[in-house]
Amino acid sequence: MKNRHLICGNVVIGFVGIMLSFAAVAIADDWKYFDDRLDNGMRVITMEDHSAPIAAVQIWYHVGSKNDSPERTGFAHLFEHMMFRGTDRLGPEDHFRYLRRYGGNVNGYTTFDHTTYIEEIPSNQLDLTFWLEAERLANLKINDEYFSKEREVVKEEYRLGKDRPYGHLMEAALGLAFKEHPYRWDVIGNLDHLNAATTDEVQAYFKTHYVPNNATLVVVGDVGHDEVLNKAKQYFGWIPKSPTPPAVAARESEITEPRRLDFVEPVGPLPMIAVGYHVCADGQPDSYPLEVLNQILASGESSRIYKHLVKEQEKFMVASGASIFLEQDGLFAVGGIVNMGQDMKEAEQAILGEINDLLDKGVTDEELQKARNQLMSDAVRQRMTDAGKAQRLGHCAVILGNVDLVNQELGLLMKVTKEDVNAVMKKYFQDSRKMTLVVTPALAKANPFKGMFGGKKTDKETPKTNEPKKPADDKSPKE
Amino acid sequence: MKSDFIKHFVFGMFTFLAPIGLWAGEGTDFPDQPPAAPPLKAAQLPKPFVTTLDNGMDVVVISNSEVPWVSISLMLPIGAQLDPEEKIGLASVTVSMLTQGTRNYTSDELAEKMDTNAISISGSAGIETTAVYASSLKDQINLSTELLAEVVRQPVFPEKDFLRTMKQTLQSKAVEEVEPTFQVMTTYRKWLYGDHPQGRESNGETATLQNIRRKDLEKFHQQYYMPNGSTLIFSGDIQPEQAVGLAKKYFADWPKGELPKFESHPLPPAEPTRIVLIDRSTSKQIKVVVGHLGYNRFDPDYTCGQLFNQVFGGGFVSRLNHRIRVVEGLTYGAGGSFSTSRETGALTAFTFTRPDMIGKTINILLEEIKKMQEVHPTAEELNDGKSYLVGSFALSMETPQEIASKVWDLKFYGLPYDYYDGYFKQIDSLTSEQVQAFARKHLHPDQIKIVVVGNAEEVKSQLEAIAPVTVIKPGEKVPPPNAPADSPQQ
Repeated sequence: MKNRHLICGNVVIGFVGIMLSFAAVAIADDWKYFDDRLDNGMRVITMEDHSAPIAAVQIWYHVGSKNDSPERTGFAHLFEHMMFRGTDRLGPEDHFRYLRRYGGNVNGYTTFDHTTYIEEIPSNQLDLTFWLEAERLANLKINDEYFSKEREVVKEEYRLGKDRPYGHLMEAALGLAFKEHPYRWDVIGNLDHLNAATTDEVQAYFKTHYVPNNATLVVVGDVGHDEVLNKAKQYFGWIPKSPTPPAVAARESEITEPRRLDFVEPVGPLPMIAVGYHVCADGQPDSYPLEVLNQILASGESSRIYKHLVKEQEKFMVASGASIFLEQDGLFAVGGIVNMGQDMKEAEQAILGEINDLLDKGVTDEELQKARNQLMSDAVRQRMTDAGKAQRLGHCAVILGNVDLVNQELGLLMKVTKEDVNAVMKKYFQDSRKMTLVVTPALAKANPFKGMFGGKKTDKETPKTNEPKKPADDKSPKE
Repeated sequence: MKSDFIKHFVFGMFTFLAPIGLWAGEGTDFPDQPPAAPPLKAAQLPKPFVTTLDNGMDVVVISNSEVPWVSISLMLPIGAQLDPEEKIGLASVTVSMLTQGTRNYTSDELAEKMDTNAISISGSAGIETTAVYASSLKDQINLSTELLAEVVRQPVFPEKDFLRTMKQTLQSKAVEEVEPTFQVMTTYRKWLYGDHPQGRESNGETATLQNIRRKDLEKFHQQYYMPNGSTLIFSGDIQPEQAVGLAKKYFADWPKGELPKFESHPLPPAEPTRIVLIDRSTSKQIKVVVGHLGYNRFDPDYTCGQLFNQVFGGGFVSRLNHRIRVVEGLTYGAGGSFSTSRETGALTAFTFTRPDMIGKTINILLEEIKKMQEVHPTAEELNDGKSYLVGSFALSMETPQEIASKVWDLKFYGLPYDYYDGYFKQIDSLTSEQVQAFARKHLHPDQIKIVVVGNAEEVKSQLEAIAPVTVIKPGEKVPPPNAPADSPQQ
């Protein structure tokens, strides 16, 4: 899942980042992509790049954890695993085996909004890659044995994540932010739900969501458009169209009273504080000023949050802004990891002080210019690889619903003014909409730097556990 | 709703195993078997432009104008191996402090300048090498090179910034040290390598980081940062002429120093197979690492080892992952390989499973190690491994930065730029019997070091059925083999 709104698009050349120089932006070539649809509804997006004899192939299915039933959270991700188990003529590792033997990379991932399968291949293996993808879309083998084996694999993936420091934090934060929308559960879901699932449910899920008219094939690399389209027709075109899968209708209600969660972290030794707000969904007009704001807050050690809270006040070990833009909602937070021995109330006040200062005084011209320079630089960097470009095309097409945004987003970001940034802050950063997450370690750990710096205030005792109110991780499944 | 036609076939297919082909595109031009194209020939590493400045600094340029971006890597043959024993982490803290204040800029000024111009500078120190990277749009290449030279040549390590950096470092370490995979890997490496530098955590350990003072950084920098032995690599949208001009402008007057002599270090002797169990009561998943010492990068068997790795534990279709994940469903991932460094190397295999299955999982790991000696690779395993090594090499050179890292690798080990031509010829010539002979020579199934992290009470009895078990606390040193199990350790 992405934590930042990735930007690709027009490349700006000839820009020299002198402060306050609102230099005219020279836009380089647009991405010359093709956007087609097969008769069965499968979308095919291609872009040629002949700089290396390779290609990135991605299939985006427009189904993610938000499509999970509340009784079967984690299903989208579990199903992603099933897609690698094979068909009657393809054994459980063969998808990997066939492509790996030519050096190809194969993977898949699931987010809140989509499930994507990835291949990076020598460009002469397009037939093989399409065959493998079409074969499993048409003929995936689902039986009790495969399902129970793969469910055990997923359980270990679950435990791998939860066993880490702060492993339960994500689900706690989502539970704080969302009460109605299916974004309230984490992509990995709940083990009780997965244990209760049946093979028939897996079959029904496949039938509903894995249909050509819910799939977008993206190919970027050393292959011509006509060739890709013809092969797509040959390999995928015969798979019948199916009814459109149901859309997620739930929407989160407006927050009218501040929310707060005191989370007791069982493993991680450091406290954290974040203050967040619901903002708009990905690709909405407000998302661009918010992205610029995120850049201003998170843009390196000179950002005001880092400079004030980490370097000057030394209350935080790291501090920053963060945005998560999703298809149907978005979150924006300011926060950080609190230095051991710091008073948590003061640290929280410091964060609020920064937010209020931003609201009162707004961002500066220098900050805006710095953000622009960095967003341009990021845009260039993200077009270095075929896979990076395919990712951006797929995201704009499937999640934002407008593939041409690959050529518009940088322009939209560059047009953002100080007034735009200040306006979205005023719109979203209201006290009545505030969500506060406070993370306190369960285990008091000795300050590792205690005594190191001779009697500085960091020598205080580590804070003890907050009285364990309702443990925020009480939703964690019994195993 | 789907049409009844489709429903009929979907359910028919899975419930009654309808004959293949009914629904699988019969009557279309969808082939019934995967259509593969012949593999490509091994790609060539593009020949880089190379020159040497009078002070001994090598300058390498890999030009590629696909995007207007340039990365610069300064590679130095220094690292945690040079840290004094009681100050492990010094090389790492030194490199992270380079951007925190120089002769001409305070930490704040430098941050402002880099962020404003979208220049990123970062560095890291490993055990044998240190890298400092700068990257930017091509228009900023002059400033980017200037700032790289400034932080590498003239850092002043201000006290206030040093104290903050140490706090950050120690607190990150505190998080790292409660992470079970980290616990199992560090304990394994220290047990394996003993006092050899390869057993060190290159970013330091809490106890040794606490001994580091500002003056140590100054001294380390004076002693070990020098142009001779280092390599400056430009990769991206820049031509050799401009790159060499920049290198000369900012680095030519950097005076030569005296390179540290490479010292050989002793390694611990082998011991019979034994299990060390790190007691972590909160674990709901058990991690395990197994292996023993191996060979170094210059060993004549290195190339065969690369092929062995593919068959044994490299990637999804390797024997380890096949057996433990795909067949048994015991884990989310299992892998293993021989890795090498300048002086030594090791076999390391890693996986994780649920508490009641740890005994079974370890037995499979041990069996698969033995099996590499007993059962030579099948023709498919051998050929797939070979073609993977050839094919993935081409895919790993998409960006000039990826090529730069390969070039540095060759330089560090003193290998020629046409090294890969011979390497792929050798890969191509290897036989199953040679891979098996390699396994017989380099694997020692009766001398395996096994480290497990988990709730000792829950898993100890399963482990005792496999080999003698020593229980330790997280971070504790592994006692010698003859010490009684469970005795309190210092």
